Amino acid sequence: MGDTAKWHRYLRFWRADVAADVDAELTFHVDARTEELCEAGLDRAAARARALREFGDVERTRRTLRAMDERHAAGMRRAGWLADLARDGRVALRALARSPGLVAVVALTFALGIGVTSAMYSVVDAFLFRPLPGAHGGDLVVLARTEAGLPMPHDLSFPDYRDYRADSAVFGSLAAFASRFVELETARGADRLFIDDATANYFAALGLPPMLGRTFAPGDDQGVLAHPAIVLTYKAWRAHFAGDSSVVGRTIRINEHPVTVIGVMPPSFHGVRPLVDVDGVACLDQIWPAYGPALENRASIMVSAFGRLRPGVSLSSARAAVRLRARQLARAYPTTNKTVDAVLVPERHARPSAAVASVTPAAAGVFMALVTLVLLVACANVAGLLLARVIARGRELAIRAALGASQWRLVRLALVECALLAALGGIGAVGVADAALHAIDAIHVATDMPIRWGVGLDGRVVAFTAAATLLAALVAGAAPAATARRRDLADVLKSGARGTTATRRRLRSALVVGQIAVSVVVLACAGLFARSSAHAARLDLGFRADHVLLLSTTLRAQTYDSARGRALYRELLRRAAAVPGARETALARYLPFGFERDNVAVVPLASATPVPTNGVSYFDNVVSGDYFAAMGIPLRRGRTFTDRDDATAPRVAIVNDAFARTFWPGRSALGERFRVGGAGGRVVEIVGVVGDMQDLVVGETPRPYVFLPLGQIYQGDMTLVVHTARDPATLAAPLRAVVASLDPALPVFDVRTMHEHLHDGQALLLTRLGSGFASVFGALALALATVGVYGVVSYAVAQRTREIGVLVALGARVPTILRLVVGEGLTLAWLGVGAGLVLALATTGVVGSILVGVAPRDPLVLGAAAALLVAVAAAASLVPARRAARVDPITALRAE
Amino acid sequence: MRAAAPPDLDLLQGTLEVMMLKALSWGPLHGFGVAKWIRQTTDDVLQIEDSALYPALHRMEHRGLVDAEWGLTENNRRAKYYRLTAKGRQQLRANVSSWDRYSLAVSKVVHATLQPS
Repeated sequence: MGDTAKWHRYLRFWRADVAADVDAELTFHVDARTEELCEAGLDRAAARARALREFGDVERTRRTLRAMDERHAAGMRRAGWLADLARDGRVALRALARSPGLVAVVALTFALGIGVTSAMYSVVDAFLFRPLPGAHGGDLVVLARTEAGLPMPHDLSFPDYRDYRADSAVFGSLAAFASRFVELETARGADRLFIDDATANYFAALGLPPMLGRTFAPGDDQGVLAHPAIVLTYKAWRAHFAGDSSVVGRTIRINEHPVTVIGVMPPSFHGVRPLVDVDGVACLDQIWPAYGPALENRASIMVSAFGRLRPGVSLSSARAAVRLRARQLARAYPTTNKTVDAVLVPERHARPSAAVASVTPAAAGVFMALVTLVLLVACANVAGLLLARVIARGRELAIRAALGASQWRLVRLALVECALLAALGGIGAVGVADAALHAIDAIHVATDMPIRWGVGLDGRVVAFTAAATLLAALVAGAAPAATARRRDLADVLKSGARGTTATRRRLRSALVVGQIAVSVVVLACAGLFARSSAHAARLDLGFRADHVLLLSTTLRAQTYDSARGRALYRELLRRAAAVPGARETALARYLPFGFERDNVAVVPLASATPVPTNGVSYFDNVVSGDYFAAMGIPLRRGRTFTDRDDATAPRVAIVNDAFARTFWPGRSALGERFRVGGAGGRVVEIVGVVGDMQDLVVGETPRPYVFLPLGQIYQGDMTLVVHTARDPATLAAPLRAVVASLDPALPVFDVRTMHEHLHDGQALLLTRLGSGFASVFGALALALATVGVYGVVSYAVAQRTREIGVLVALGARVPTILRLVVGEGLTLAWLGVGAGLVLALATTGVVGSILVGVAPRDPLVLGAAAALLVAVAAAASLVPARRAARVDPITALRAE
Repeated sequence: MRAAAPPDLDLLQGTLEVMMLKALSWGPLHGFGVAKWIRQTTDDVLQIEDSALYPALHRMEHRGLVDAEWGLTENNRRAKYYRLTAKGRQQLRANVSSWDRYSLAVSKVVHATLQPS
């Protein structure tokens, strides 16, 4: 067997050429037999024919052999690879066991980096990616309405919904629902339930079957109070019925009327709105009180709509169809729909509501990017630590290389080591993520509405964690692996144990510089969010942000008709005012930054600005006279409501400055009149103008707002607003007692101070959370950068012990040594901070859209971030510097 | 085997395998050499199709009974040579002894003089 064999074997090493080998082998056989037969006297053609006949089916044999050999070769490759990996794993484990300190630091760094990334992903996943339960949960769309003057997509009127739904060429299904609180009668009294009143196709649109009983049948939503039935969520079933299966089919009492429980949904169902955790779903108009004529009014915006496109219909063509329908409706019903348009957005983009479809993905993107930067910083840190380790183990690796370990093997060893550490960190990360998610889940929201953050460790999050771990291992392992190359290691053997090449030190320094740069960006973002949040909290909202207690109640219509209700309100206000510490007391139907709001179509009788015939929709509120005083909203002109503004008196209204400016710019709106509720609405006269206030989004330009007197419009749901000079929380108990003294059966809920209402509610909660998240990321990045600088500088000190010893021997004093070492750390810091500032200036612009009152390139924030990092780098260098200053020259020199 | 209906496949493959191991027991051979040796030794009684040999050879290679290496024939042609491994030699011994037991048993039966009682 000559050269060919060797040559062929070499080729085999890369990849056995199975097919060619099989061909060659079979050809040889047939040729050899032909030759043999020729020698025996046959002519060549006959010999070949016989050889082939004797052989049998050549083609089939060829196929069989190729398949067999390929399978075998693949199996061998796999087995070899696994065996190598197992061997590398054992070597790495042994090596790691020798340095438990390093393992602990690296695993902790990984755990923190990967853990917060996973937690953040879980939040983003819950808000943006996770589909609703049910067969169609993933491909739902939300239909919303926009109109001139109110461009944010919002709810529809029920007749509009019905007309869109009729487009069966577009929608496979389209369901509508409205949400409200109802009262469930229990042995103890009453429990408040938050339910969706929905069209009968609600569950069919989701494609979600019940866990027990049934969901709605088509037609269950027909007629008023004709099918009083409810489907409970799993949560409500457990909480209010102790998970008793026999409740299905039973009649319960809701709002003092009988309702049949027809089914219970599986635990995955929480309603179709994120954050809100509904207790049940009933059909529209089937639970007392029914919605009444408002449901049939095209001007009253009441329902949210979601559904599924007909298979094969693209979103863009559906959008075109919906807009066409909107224009048809505008022509058919000009009084209500003239300026109304419709938008169709994928359900996942409409969280928490269609109004924020453009903001939520951007905010989520920013936070995912931030946390990924933190993960990168963590990886850089680990890379730095492992790099030091490769260098320290230079001799061992060099010997391995000299003994014949291949370059790939050494690189793989470094990678496997890093992967093991990352896996360890990944396990810790699950714990970190779990703790973080518990903390998020426990965030208090100032409302009695059932809130569910929906974040938690599940398969998706764990899978993400695993992917992040793999990524971290690769990123962090790249640098040490690159250094573990054989050629570099050969130098180590030549240069002795020290063996630090300048290249490698530079690589490590570059890692720290990069880490500091990224930390600057993360810290800058944290600072921006913190300033934005502080700014938002300080912002003048146009009303009193503190020293106010809020308490809500609802009067059941059976017990309280409007006369009895009014009497109760009068007495409630009188007794509340008598509570020690109470100053002004008032009642209001809605609150600024509340979870509920209402709007009315306003048509001025004589306006300086042209107004569409059906008017313009503005938010409205029903309040008692002292509302403005209690809320601290200044009265600019005219008067507030008084007891004389009752049902028998002329209809009056109070508007804000923005309202007056819109219709009667440059002059007093007092005495002007307008219709409330569209072209056919009642005429009211403006008796007062109050200051503007923010209502929906902190930092917004104030919108026109209408106040109507409680004396003229009776409402069963009211919030008591009490202004006090004391700590408002101390008034909660006496005010509860006041309500109980009037009617012990009255429900009292959402008792909170105005501060809680704003800071833990719609106004500031998300800003505050964003700032909180960003601060955690910033602190983490800072801590990691500190460790990074410390590591590099102490390593440098260790490497330069001899040099320092010489310096000391030559008479260098402690300050000189300190300056020398700290200077090394500061050089890295300045480089990193410089790069970081450039990076921050280039990138922080993207967060501009979610900041309030702070420019994305705020010099104060950027300066502070830079200063903080430089200070921390100096401090981190000081520890090894002091160690260096204590170097005993004799020992240092002798050690060499 | 062209003769008659094939008997139990395991038996057939076992037979083929022991013959091929035996063929290789004198030294490395290529597939054609194995086929030729079997043909000559059995006086072409078994009439084994050559195509049946190769899957068996490759299977034996994968099982580690033989090693394969490319080499040159006397005529300077490239051929794949099979060589018995230690494991193959062991297998041959085991196969031969079980073949002996088997053929003795069959032989006893077919030459039996005692009628079933």
